[in-house]
Amino acid sequence: MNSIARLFKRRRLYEDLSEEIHGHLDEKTNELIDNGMPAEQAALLARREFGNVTVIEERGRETWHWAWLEALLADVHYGVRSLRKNPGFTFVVILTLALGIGANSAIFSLVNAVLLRPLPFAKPDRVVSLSRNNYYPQAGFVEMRTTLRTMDVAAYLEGWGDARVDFNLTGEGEPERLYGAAVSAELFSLLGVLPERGRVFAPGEDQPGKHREVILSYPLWEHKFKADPNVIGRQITLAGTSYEVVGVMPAHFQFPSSKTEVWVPLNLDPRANSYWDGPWVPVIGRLRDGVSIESARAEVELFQRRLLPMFPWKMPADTWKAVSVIPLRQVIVGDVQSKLLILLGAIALVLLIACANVANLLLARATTRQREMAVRATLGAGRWRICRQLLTESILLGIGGSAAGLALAYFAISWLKAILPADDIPRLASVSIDFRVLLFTAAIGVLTGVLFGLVPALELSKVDLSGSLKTGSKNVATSTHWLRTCLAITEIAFAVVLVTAAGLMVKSLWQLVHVDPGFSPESVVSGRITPDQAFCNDFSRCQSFYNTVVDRMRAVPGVRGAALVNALPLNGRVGFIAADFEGYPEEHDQKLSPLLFDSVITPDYLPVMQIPLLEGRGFVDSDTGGQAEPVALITRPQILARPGSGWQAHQTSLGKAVAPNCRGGGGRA
Amino acid sequence: MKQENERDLFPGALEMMVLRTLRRQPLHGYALVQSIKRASDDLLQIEEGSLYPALQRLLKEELVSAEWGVSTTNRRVRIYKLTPKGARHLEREVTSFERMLQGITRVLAPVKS
Repeated sequence: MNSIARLFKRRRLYEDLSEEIHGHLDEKTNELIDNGMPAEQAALLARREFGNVTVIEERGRETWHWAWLEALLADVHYGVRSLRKNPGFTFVVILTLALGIGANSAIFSLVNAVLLRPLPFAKPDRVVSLSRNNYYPQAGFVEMRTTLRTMDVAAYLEGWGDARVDFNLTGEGEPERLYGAAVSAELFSLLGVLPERGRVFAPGEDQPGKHREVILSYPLWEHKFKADPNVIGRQITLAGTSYEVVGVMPAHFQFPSSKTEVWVPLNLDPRANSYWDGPWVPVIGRLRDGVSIESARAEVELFQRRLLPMFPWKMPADTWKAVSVIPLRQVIVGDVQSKLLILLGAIALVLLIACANVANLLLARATTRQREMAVRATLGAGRWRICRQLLTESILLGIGGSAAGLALAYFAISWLKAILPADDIPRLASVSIDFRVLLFTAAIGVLTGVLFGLVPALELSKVDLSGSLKTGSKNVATSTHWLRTCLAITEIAFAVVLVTAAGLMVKSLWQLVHVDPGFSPESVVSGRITPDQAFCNDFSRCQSFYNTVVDRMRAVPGVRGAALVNALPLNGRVGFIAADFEGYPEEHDQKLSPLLFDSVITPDYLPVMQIPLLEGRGFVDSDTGGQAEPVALITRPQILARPGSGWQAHQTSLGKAVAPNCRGGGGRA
Repeated sequence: MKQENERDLFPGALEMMVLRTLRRQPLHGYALVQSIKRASDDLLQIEEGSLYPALQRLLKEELVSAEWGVSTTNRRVRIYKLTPKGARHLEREVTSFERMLQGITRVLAPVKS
């Protein structure tokens, strides 16, 4: 602490010294003049007797320099020399460390980008998600927007398929399928993000008639519109409809997901079927000032109870799972957090094994360095001094390993980015070596240096002078032997832990692969076709198009069957509808929700997917078409839930492609 | 440290003389030099300036303390004073020096035989 205080005092010390020296010269000169010497000569003589003022001042200042810094430099110098004398040893050690450290840096850069960097929003810790478990009908969101007191809310829809916010972009060269998001007007201002160009949506633009506007993502603007500065105000054709470009978002803005290429306003139309019955929306909120997350949760709980009776039809009481109002970060990061931390832990174990290996190498070399240390000790180096020297050497190795590891990490990161699924790992694209990763790498370099160097250094500095100088190293050899055994045991223990953990993960992966999903995915290939919505306004045109597709598929040699479905199983969200079953006991409503996940399929779907039919019949061609009597298939849990006889189901959902009053046709497991 | 071999004195000699001189009375740098020169009857070749790095070392080790004041000739000067720690250090140094000197004198004495 003395030296720290001195650091601040140093300037003062130097000034004092300088003033003092000049005072001295002055006094001497005056004295000489008083004795009758001419002024010029006196000044000259005073200087001559004093000596070189600059050099003396410098030497005076050097006194205050840090002695340990000089010692450290000497140690580093000596360490580099001794490492260079053993290039093979140095190379092997640095390579070992580089592998361990490089892997750690690469995984840490992943953790850093995905978990540690704050979300690129204003005050990101005040942004919450209401939708880890629960989505809301658009009408519910509008109600929420007007009544909630604890927070401001915004809703969005995204994705392929059911949500219908993916678009065919035409008229701009090659047609392109765009991944879109439909957002409520206040989403951007709620997140506190400004557009790169143009503007974001204004309040009210999510109302019917005003929603034909689009905001482009930066990458789309760059590659599709050649970064045209005049793109704002242009009309572009999405799904056959004309939209006006009003803005371009900055490159770092990736919400709801990194895939989002265009944002359009939600069309919150109370007269449309979709108002209650359309795809439900996830909701995010920004807590108002001074509101705790708990009070927000309580309000949402009350709100949900109030919303249920507002539905135009009866909804089961357990429509929503427990209310969750949690920081948005948690939802975005999701279960990636635990996976990444497990990975980081495993990789840290690998580094520990590398450390144990290097420590072993150092101990092996220690035997050959006994004499060198003994000579140093004889010349007056204390044990601490020798220890410090050896530690400096191992830290140098650690730093060397860090530097080489960083180079490895650089390649590892681009490799990771290429192989990891961008959909499952948020913010993957932003993974890079930044300041924090550099710091981390340097820190583990030094840390590993101490870790693998400490035991050998303590061991080697324990010099038995007379013994070592005379006969060499018998005593030390036995004790290093013991240490090396310990290290080997440690290494094996770490390796066992790693192998066990890896085995467990492989086992759960194996179990996941072998879960019986109720269908057989072998030999089934899938593809997606996405005609514009407008195309299907004419039902017969749409149907004949799809029929042609299925027929042509069947005609392909080697194809045994072809079918269409609106959503593949285990592939994200599907819509669901509330239903009443004839004969379904009313009191059961409380416990079992008659919510049906609805899939729209063509007759061959069940054979193609090899889904067994338990009772009744599958769909036949005559079931399709506008005139056919509506039919439905249900799964076994629904059968079991009902009393044995009630086969007729009456459905109250509105505006589905399959009209209400469906007849239950059978069941499958 | 390298500069030490440029001096005519052995390492630590100048410091010892400074401490010894300061034990009599607190002095500023210039007066200190004059005092040492006078005491040695100008036998010792001291570069006046070399006093200052020595004083800095003593200051750092807290063997002397310094304070700005006014000299008899009415100059603003930095006056050095021996600290108790410095006094003890001087005692030890002088003892060991005397012993060393004794040894050297014996070795250098004309051999009778």
